Amino acid sequence: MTLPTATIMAAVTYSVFVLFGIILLLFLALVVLRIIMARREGELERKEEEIRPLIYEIISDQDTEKEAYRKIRSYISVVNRVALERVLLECARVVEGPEMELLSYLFDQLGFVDEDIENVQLAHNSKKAESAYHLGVMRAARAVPFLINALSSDNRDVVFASLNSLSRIGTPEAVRALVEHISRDGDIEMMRIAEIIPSHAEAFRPTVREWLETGSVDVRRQTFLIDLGGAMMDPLSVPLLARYMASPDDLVRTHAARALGGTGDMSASGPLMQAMSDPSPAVRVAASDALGRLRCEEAIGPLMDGLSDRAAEVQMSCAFALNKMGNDGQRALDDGIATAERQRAPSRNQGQADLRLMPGPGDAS
Amino acid sequence: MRPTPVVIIADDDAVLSALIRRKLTGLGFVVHSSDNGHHALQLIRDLGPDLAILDVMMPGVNGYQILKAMKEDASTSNIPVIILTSRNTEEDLVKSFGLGAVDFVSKPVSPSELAKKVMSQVGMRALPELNPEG
Repeated sequence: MTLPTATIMAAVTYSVFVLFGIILLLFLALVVLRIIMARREGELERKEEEIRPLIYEIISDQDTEKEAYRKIRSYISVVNRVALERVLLECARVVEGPEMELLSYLFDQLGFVDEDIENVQLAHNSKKAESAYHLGVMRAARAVPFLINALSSDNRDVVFASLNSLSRIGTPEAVRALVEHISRDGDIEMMRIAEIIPSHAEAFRPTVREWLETGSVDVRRQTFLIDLGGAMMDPLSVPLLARYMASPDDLVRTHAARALGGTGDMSASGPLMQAMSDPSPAVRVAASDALGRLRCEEAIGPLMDGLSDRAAEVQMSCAFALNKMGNDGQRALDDGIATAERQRAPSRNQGQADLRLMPGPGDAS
Repeated sequence: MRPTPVVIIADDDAVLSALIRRKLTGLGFVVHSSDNGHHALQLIRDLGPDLAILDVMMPGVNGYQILKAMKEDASTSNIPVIILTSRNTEEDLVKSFGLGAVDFVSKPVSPSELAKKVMSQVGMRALPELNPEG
């Protein structure tokens, strides 16, 4: 049996209208949802604005811990709890010292630490990562065992947030767990945690030395490890970094020269002075810059030679390096510039003489 | 020195700026703040403060550029400057003192510790006026 064309047309038209209606309803629902979310966010921001003056007053007037807690409980309603946590967290991100100690106490007493510890154990991954991060901002030392547990999560955001927080909390237990995890985890992004916490450099140095010893076939990873070696400011890593000055790769040698300067150790000056005759100008720039950072007076001679290097960027770098070396370096720089001027003058005169000897446009050949 | 010392804070971090401002105001300072370098430099030139706290990383003109401009201008060259920075490297330290800063504070900051440094600097400046003989 075949349906009449008019019926088919009516059914198609009806379907199109229904589909259009559904799309319109979905669109309206999204708009309403956006409006509700924006209103909630606006409401939250308004509450934060109300809370801020009291919190700033508490932090700035350095109330005792109990007095600060009493003021918050008296003046801030329980319904403003989310806004209160946000304001306390934004303050905790920028302060340290006695102000941070007061905030840590408040986070604990007001129950925010317990809430975030619970989230780190039970919530879905994005909430878990957020709470793990908050615990670090709160410097919640008693959250350390829970953050260590969270390191076994499959979610990289949760692991990264937990590592970050362990580094912020910085108790011996937290740093030990951090170093152990990073030495097992091969991910560069995770290893960057070691770079951003110079205060824990001492705990990381043996691990970083091991990494430098082992090396990597991947140049990106290799240069990262070398940079990390420099950031640790570890005199014992100087011989390991110096080995990379023999790499056939210009980029690896450049990073190694920079890292040697970063160690701040004078024993790095030997390989760096040798690197002043490296075939790559980038390596010579990095080496001269590193010698300047080390303020190595023995390097004044090689740096003066560098003022007449064939690469202009090396000349500049040597001049900057000499300038950092106090009176001796600046005298050497003045002498070097004068010598270079004298050397250039005869060749310029010679050049002008050559030009005069060249046949002009009107001369017959 | 004015009866009430004036301090200018140039930092685009509104929370930190407000906390420092509140702390210094509580100690009797008159505090003006700015979240961008151009405005901060203008404030410094207009008000001639007793001290300026400059953040290195700011939109427009950064803290080092403000400090350099201050040192090049005879009317602002004697104003003590404390540099605030989140980069706690030796290079930044050397650069700050090299450009003429009197102190260097790395973030995060303890407002009370910073206030002690401000009081010490402003007090030091006041000494010659308090003791014209010496």
